[in-house]
Amino acid sequence: MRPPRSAALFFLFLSVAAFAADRDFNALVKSIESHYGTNRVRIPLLGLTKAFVKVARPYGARQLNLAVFENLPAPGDADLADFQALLREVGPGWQPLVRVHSRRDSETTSIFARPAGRDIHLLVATREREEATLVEIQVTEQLLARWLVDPKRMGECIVVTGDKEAPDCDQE
Amino acid sequence: MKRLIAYFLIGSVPFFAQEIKFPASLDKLAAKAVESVDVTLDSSMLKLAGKFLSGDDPDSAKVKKLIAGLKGIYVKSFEFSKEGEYSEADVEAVRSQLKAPGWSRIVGVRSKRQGDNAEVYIKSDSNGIVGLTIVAAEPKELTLVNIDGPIDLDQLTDLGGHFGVPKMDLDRSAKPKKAEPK
Repeated sequence: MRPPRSAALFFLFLSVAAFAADRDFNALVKSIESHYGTNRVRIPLLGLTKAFVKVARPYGARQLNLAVFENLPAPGDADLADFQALLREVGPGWQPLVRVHSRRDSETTSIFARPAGRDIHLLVATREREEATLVEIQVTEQLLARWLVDPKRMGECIVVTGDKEAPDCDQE
Repeated sequence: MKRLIAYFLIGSVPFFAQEIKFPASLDKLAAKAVESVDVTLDSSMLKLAGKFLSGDDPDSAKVKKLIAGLKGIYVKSFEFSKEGEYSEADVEAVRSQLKAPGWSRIVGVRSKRQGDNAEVYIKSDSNGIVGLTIVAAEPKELTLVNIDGPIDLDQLTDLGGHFGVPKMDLDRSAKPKKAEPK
């Protein structure tokens, strides 16, 4: 039996959307690599990185892409601003949600969202110490709704770096 | 097919429909600020948040009701290490937009965090309040909040502490009568 045409078109749409999301992620990775003259840490070596990066995977979240950049110059004010500027090149369809910038901690985090069928893709970019992290996760609407109530903490809920404690973010 | 087109449109429509435009100069303040937070929640995000807020919990139910008709919540807050890091011109770029027809400043509302220096502006039409902007300019802190959509002032306090909106206090004795058109 042939699948209904609308279902086939829907899956085609999802494939196109997934391709676009990957393309945007890879484009940002290339921008960061080019800006800092470095390469992302290869996946088999991620476990050996100095930068301990943990992506939270509460119920309703699925990691899609992860890129970690090490040995970057320690971030000064100008660098944090440059990093934010790089993120403006994110592809169309990504909505800026939250940006938290801290000179006190030399840290900046930006989160973008994009609808993906019934779920939402979140792109989270952080820059701190000598590292930068780019993460794309897929979350259910329900999980994002819980995180939206306190958007300032959302970044901490998704990416935990260094020796920071993972906050308890996925409580109902 | 219509559904497919709708999915494409949802994904490609620029989300921006914010009525009060925060000037680009404010983005530069982030580089001077010790801490800055920028929250952009459009109607689709607010609908999503509202969809899952519990109607059983009294506090959540209030917030759920409050955001039901909103088109957007936009917050920019900056904390500086010393005074004079932002200029009057930075704030004036926002205040000047609040002189447009329909906007008026109200008194009797203050931010718990910002003290008495919070200016609250409402936009009204024949249906009531359809927008609200808070300008809280302290020597070392600047907070701007724009809420787009119908909002009940008496419920504004319930929104404080959610979606990046600072906690607010309402001085009910002063609020209703002392509106001063800008």
